[in-house]
Amino acid sequence: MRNSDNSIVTILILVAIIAVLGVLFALRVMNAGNVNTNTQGQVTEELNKGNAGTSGGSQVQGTQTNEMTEQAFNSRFAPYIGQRRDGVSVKKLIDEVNKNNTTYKNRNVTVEYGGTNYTNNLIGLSDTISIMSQYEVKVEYNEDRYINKITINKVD
Amino acid sequence: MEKKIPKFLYEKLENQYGKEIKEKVIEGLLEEKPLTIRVNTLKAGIQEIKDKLDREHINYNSVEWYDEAIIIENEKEQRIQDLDIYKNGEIYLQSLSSMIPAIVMEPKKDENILDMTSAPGGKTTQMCALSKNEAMITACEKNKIRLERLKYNLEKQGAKRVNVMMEDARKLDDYFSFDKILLDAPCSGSGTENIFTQNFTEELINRSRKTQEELLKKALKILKKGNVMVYSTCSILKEENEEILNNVLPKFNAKIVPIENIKQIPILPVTIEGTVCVCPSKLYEGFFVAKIIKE
Repeated sequence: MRNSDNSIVTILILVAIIAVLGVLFALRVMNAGNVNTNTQGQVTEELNKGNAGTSGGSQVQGTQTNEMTEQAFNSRFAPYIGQRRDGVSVKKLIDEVNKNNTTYKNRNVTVEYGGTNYTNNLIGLSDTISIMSQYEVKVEYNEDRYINKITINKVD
Repeated sequence: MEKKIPKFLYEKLENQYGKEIKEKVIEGLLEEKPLTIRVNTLKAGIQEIKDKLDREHINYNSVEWYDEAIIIENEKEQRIQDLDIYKNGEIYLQSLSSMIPAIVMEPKKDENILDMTSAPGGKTTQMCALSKNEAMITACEKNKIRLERLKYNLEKQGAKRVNVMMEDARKLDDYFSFDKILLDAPCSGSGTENIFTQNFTEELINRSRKTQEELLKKALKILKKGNVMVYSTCSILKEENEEILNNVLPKFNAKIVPIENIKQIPILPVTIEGTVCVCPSKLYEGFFVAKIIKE
């Protein structure tokens, strides 16, 4: 073979090698792309899951939240329920209701004492409760099982 | 401890209450008192503590007029002190009578309250609990060792917003001014087991009277006008109670705010209407409480 022929063969081999390397690189990139795609897919799926989770979770959590909130809500007043509670506890209860009614306007609790209903001016009501007396404390729930009314009666 | 009542106390009690009531008082003073605890609602719920006592097989009774008070049956103090609820500050050993002053105080959010003789801190921490740590309390104590005890108890009970001062409250600057003041005055302890000690003398009563009067004068000086304070002692002698009030209140245009009697608490006749003197009995130490308004 002539020198020029050798050169052509060498060039062809190099081109072939480069082509093979190019194909391999392209495949790798594609794989990488797939990985990326998959990752993105996963991310997307996770996001979807997240969305689903969030909305589902919202529903699930929403339900849980409602249940929790209902429990948490009621638990603030429940310890004061009883047939003979001391005046100190009743004052604390009224304080708790007052805090609730000023914070959660849409979930006000009414306190009935002496035939009068109070949702505001609870501090005034508290002042009429004697720390030296005992009281019966009863509660009523709304249809969602939240306490919405507390009835206080002085016990002789 | 040999329970021997000093002769001079017999005479004082008979002079003040008459023979029949004196006998009742003496009987009450001689009664062995059960341990009583106060649930520290800053750290635990009342039912939670009752459940824990149940688990320890400790018998107890509730107190109708104060849900946070519990009467322990047939247990030694050490047994209670060994409980985690005691070590964690979830309960506080306190006599039933001594729970009354803080209740009468009705401490509220952001009120600036002075406890003039604060150590060891039972009533101070009770006020913290009653106000859910929302009152601002200045706790005064002149004795360094007792002050350390006070600090320890405040920490243990989770009391917040308490400013501790090592000071004889009689010497407080008139510059101070408070929304409410608790003066649980040093006294002879004539309503308590102190009467069985050598410490209990007529001289102690006289010394106490002087301190009580000085403290009450200071309290009324630094109490804001239109506001209330509580004066209490663990004495059932009028010379440490009504007589002190009669001597001091008119000078400061101060008047008694009537305290409603709690029907479950045995009481003694008083010479100032609206004040309460708890009769020593099986459950209660002798104790005097007055609510005062500065007009």
